[in-house]
Amino acid sequence: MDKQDIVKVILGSLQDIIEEHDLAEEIPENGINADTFLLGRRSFVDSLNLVSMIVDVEQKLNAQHGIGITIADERAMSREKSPFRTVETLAEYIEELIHELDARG
Amino acid sequence: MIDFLLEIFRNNRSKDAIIWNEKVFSYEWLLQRIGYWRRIVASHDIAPSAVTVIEADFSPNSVALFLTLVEHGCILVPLTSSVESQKPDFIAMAQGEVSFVINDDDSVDVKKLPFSAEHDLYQILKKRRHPGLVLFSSGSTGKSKAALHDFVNLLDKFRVPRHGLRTITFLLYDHIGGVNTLLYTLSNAGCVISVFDRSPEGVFRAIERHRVELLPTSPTFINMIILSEVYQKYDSSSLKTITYGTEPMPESTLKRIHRIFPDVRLQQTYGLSELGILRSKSKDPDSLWVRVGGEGYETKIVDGILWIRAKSAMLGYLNAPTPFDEDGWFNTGDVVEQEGEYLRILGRESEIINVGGEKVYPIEVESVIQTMEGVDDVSVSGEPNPIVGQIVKARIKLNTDESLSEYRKRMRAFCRDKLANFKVPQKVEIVATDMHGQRFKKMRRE
Repeated sequence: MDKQDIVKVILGSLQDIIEEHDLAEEIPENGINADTFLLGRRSFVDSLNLVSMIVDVEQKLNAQHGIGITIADERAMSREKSPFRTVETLAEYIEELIHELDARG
Repeated sequence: MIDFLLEIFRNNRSKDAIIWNEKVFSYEWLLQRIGYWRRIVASHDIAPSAVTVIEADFSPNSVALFLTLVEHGCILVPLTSSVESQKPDFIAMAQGEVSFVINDDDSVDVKKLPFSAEHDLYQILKKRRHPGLVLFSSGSTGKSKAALHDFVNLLDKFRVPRHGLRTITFLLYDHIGGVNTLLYTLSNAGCVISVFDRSPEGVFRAIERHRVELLPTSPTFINMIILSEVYQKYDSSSLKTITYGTEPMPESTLKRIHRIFPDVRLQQTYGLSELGILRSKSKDPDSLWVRVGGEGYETKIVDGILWIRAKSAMLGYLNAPTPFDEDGWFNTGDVVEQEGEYLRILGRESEIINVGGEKVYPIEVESVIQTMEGVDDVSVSGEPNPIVGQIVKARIKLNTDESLSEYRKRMRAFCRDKLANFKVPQKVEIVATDMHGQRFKKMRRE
């Protein structure tokens, strides 16, 4: 899976969360894309929505791509630059986790 | 010890005492059978205070033997097939000295066991020359604990005569609810109706066949009754009362069963292996608010948690330190709400889910989700999450073809106007297996 594929999965989950939690009105003007903020004051999703979205991404990666990783854990939280900052940084973090998984064999 | 019971039996000789395998056994038969077992106990040289293990379910012999051993002063350790894999451990831990195994055809095998009753708590009973009862908790919140009761204390409340009813022994022979059902029924010359098949079908077939008046059961089983619609198939007009206990009742379950059986009294019971069963009075037939207590019980609420002090409390655990404080109070671990003299149980303190500082009780979420189309069963628990502390996880047994994503979307839409946002499960898993144990109690751990 390359980064673009991962971004697609994340955006798909984000879209689901928007529908399920009635957040259509909150979407920023330029829509949702790799630069969309997931954390902080520029994010239109709150921490609960973010958590649900991450669970969904984990379950999708598992079910549709056979990839079993835990995205939200102590390690992710202890990074100086949070991997959850934007869709892109999250995709990069997931890419890193997948590489580690492959390396472990 | 059981003289008052024998007196009641003698005054009701021709009445039905036990129904088992479609056969009826009278109180006359029961008296004779107790005589028979007295002779067997003597011939095997079983000492009073012997720890006697009885592997059985409710049957004519298991009932007669139970009473005979209590009369003899033994320490009873009933065990059913629901704990089959744990029997060797339980028997060793209880230091069983004699074993009675009652087979499906009601034949009995007796043999000596290699253990010796040396536990400190047993010595107390020996000194008092009182019979005892060992009950293993279901372990749905951890390791099984063995509660030792002084049988004299347990029997006390059954000296007050009440209404004798034709009752199904749904709760198990080795469960406080089952023992309570047995003693309550016999002490009022009611009829003990045993069932081999504890499915909704099996139970309702027995209700119709034997004109059952009282069904003591659990909320989980009541959910099964509702889902299976078994009441459409059988005539249950004889049913007067359904009691429910062993776990908290989801509000939606209570309301639905009341709609299905508007003329049946629904009574909540509150009981623990450690304390016995407390009588409780519901505010309204379909209300979760109850007055709990009665003769021999005191209740108090400390920091929102229910504490109970009971005359029929156990002596202690065989395999754990005493849970009672120095004044004999027991912390039930149940979070309750109070309104005047009425209480409402919100759930176990240990099961509260803390989502970003907000409290969620599993039962509340389950109550909503279980009313969804296609949901056979749901179990809600907390999962650790580094971002918000804990998240709400729902395990669903679905009877539709929906994918996880499809179901989740539907669930979120369904819950939107019924639950606060943080209570709606952030994680959903679809499972294929039942999520209750053999005692029909919801299991929330995996």
